[in-house]
Amino acid sequence: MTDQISFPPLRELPRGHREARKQHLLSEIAHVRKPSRLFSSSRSWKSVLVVAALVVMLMGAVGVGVSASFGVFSAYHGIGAVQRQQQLHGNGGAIDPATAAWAKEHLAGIQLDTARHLGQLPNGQEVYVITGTQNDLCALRGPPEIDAECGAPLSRAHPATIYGLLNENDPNARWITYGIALNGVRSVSFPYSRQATQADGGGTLGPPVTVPVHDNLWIYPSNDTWGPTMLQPLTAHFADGTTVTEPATGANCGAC
Amino acid sequence: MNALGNSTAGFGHEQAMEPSDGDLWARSRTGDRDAFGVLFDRHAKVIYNYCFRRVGNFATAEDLLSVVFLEAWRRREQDLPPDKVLPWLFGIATNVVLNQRRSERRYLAALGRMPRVEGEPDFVQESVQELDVQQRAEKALTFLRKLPRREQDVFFLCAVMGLSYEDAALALGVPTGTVRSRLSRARGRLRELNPGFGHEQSESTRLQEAHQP
Repeated sequence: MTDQISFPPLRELPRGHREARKQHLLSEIAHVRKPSRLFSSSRSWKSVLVVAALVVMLMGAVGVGVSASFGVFSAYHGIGAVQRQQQLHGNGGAIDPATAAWAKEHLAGIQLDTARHLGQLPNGQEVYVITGTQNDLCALRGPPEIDAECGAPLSRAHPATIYGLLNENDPNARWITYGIALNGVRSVSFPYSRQATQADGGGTLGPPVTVPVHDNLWIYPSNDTWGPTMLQPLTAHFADGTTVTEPATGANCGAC
Repeated sequence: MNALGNSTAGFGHEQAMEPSDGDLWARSRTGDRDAFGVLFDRHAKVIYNYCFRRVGNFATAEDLLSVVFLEAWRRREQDLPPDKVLPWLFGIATNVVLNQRRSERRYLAALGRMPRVEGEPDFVQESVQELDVQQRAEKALTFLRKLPRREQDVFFLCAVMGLSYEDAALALGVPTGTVRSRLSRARGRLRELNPGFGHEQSESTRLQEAHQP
């Protein structure tokens, strides 16, 4: 690490401060009898209801459809592939049991019945979209290794996502880059930036690549062991000839 | 992707006869302030240092430390895995730092009741050293703040504080894979910002040094 990232060693609080802070803490919490909850006695139900009513009125005033805003599937707006026939697994869902169990454990607020299958990666992992109470659009992949990336739902200003994974089952450890694209996006392009796959130094910029989108999913299986840095802008090419370019630091990078 | 050897080993203070974090948290949940006080004793140092490394100011870090534990007490209905109290505290601290002004405002009255500790700092020399340390931290922060916020959080937890991927995931409420990819991305971005990054000394080595008493 360079001198630019140099923090001092861990140190104790100044003499006497820790004990003073502790006594202060214990004194303060003595006045808090019950844990705070949304509808605890310290909050007025009336005030909560008033706020909720105001929110609904405001949304009505700006013409926002309540059902569209609160519907659990609103995160899939513009992803037509979720409408197609889904393969049902033993649990009756569109997602395999192992991946479902993983999602339930690792993704807060996720609703398993929202899972929809989008396609398969070259390493055999299935790609699903899934959402939940936070209205995030999550790309879930698995099994056998299972992982997920969550971010904002797609929109015209945010027409595609980009994710990368190192294919650990591949003896050559090549990278797979993929993402989800909005209806009407024919292809995505990005300068494929090479970097070391481990913390052993920087890399060189690779050539720009253009990847077609099929059923809202695009996949770029690279032939080398260099991964995408995700630092490059991602351009979505729409069928009508227009393009939208997003910097990778924006919403197109679910894990940024 | 390979792991980075960034386990939380060294943070744990459990000894044979001492209650575990899980036991203390279970007692805290029933309103046992003494148990909560032991948790404070056990983790105040590391949370204080985490806050300092996020904000670059010792006085502010002390106040944030108080806020973190006040907030933890407020949320004491939270059921935690036995060995995950510290990662959970890191999660609270991350949110407190992110919403620093709001957090301080919420506990403004409580912080106002914090008695002044007399006699610190005693010596001019100590103050000068402290200023130097803060300036170094500020320099590092200026660099790291070029990262997107979510990458900063992961970088601080994993690379600066040495949490495992799993613990960082719990702290941030994201999947482990997301932690891995954010950290990888952060390193790549830092390397682009400064080609020397990652060459002079590994982060784990730096951290091992940082954790020396």
